Amino acid sequence: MVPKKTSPTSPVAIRGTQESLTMVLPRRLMNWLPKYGSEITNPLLAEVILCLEGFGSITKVGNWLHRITIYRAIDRKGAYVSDASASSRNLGHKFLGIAFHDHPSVYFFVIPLPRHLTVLEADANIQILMSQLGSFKHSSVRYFQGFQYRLGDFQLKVGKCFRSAPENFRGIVLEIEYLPLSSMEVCRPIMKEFFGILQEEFSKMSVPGHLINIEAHFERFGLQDYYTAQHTALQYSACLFQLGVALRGGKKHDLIISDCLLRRS
Amino acid sequence: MMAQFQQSITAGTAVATTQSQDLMESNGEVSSQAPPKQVALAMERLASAARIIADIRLGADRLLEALLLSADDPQQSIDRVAQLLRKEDTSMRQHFNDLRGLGNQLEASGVLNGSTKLRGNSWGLHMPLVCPDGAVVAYAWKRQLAGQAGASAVDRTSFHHSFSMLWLLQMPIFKCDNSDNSYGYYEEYRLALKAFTDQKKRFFPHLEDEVSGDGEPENAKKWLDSQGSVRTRKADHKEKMSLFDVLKDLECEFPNIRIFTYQRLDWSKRASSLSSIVSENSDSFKNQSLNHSSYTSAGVSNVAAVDQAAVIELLVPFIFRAVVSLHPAGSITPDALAFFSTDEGGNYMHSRGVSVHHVFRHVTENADRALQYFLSVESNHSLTVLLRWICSHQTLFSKTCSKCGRLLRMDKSLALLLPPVHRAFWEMSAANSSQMKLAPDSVSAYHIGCSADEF
Repeated sequence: MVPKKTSPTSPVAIRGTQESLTMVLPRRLMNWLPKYGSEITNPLLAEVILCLEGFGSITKVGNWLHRITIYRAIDRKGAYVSDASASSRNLGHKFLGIAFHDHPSVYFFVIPLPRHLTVLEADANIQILMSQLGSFKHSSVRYFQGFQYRLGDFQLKVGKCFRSAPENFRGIVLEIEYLPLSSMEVCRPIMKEFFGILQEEFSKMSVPGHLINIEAHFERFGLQDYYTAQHTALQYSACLFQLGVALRGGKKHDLIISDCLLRRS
Repeated sequence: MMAQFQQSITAGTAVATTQSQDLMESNGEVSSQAPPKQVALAMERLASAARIIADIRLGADRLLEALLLSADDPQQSIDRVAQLLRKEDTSMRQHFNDLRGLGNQLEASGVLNGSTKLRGNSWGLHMPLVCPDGAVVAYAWKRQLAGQAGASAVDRTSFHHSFSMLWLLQMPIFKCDNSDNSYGYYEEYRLALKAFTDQKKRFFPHLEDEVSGDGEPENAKKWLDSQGSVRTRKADHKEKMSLFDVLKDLECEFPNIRIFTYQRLDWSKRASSLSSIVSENSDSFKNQSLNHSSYTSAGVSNVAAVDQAAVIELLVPFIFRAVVSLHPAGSITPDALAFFSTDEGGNYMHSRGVSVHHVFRHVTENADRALQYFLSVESNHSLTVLLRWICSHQTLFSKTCSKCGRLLRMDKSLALLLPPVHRAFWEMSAANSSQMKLAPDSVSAYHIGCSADEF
């Protein structure tokens, strides 16, 4: 289970003249990604959802689906480039592309190059470009899918993380947003307390495992205190790596990447 | 006994004024259907109905006066008040019976029919009037109001609001019997009466029937502006500070709060521009430092601008934006205020608007109560104290509740998780607000449920 907090307000209009291609982003808050320890099963998810739905005046507002694609560099012959140091390409040999459900026209890249950690934001058409250029190929895709809830000023997303079939999912994700604020520092006490309340609720539930908060290295990627969708992108990628590393026992460059992304406190 | 009394007041005035309105409207219609004699009779009855209504209103005034007297000396005049109340009660009953009789007569003569009865106005105030700027106002006093230059629709509704609040508070007084419980209502009534008379003074200055016995001599006030020259300025006879001074002091005390002043139209432009501000990381911070005019380094031109200010905006970066409106423009009398998130923007952002976020909605609700409290208790320094109280909300998302010690609490009635949104305005006064320079965190914070016990 990965509780995450962000807070989108309604999307604001596009500003015309001077910065013509800039789109106004909804503002989001911190992203905490806890996760459960032991086996992840369907009944577990059902119980979690049930627990949430009995929480105050919470109401279900819809579904969500995020898609994370792992891109790998390929050489001219079409084989994957396996060694990071041998790659002469600026983007490195492996990076993530993220498509969010609530930002349909934007595509994010999280590039964990050791010296140039970057989060890129691009138009959604970039995916077509990527497939046509042929320098990079997507090696695997992960999906985060679930339900969205609203509790006053808090917006929650709970869902599962799977690879190909929704039935075989590897992790449970919980995202929390606090709408009135857009600064991470200001929001920290509120989020912490909400997280505590949730943990209390879940501990009453007698489910195996617990929530873990995931904090990502925002500063290393050059992201400021003012929360944006790029922060969300980073948090989801951190979440993914933590899930992957925990379950697969991770390869070497996976660990390096996850070290870049995750802040181990 | 009293509950019936209350009901009959509202019902009686509703019926009576419905009758008068109805007859005014259907005058032409009646004359075409009924002979002139009946019309004359009906008009006469209506006139006497109007006289009885006036008597009822006078009686109500006398009752309120009696209650007010008793509020001033609770110990001595209980018996006297009780006597007065009983006397008024009997005379009011007599009036109502007369009115009922008249009503029956009019009904019998066909003037008052079922459909007009249903169209009751709960306050019994009729003669709707359409004012030049399109607002429909409820009663004839507004004729004068409409004629007054500069009275906007918003001002009218606030006046109407306080007037209706006054009537509202009169009703519970009639409800209670002559017991000790009634003193609680006297206090509320006193506050409402004070708010109403302040508003009345604002709109009808020529109707001042009592001389405000201040008579203090004009004082000379001096301050230094940025050029270092000394300027003298005479305060008005009530020793009020100027708006400029108030804002300057506030800025010195709370340096992290941005203060802006606008004229009314300028504010509405700014509010709509806030909705289209680009919110990239650095830009938002830049925007929150736009138009920053520092009052500590203000020159002569800024003083002039402040004299016309009708809207004050207090911005605590990333936490909240408070909008306070002043009436009249340039004075230090606050009119209304509202809280919003720093990311909100749009035409609904003004001192009487509501935020889209629950937390700010509740803060605004509490702020309305605080505003009325400050206006009634600290009439000369209400703006100063109010602004300081607003600044105490800097810790809205970090300060825990003084009662339960937690930050978020599930409110039982709303079933929402909220931080402590109530700041204790009853603890603040002009005297101790200057101590806030040392401890701005000193105002207690409460959750909605926690504060109900404390107040």
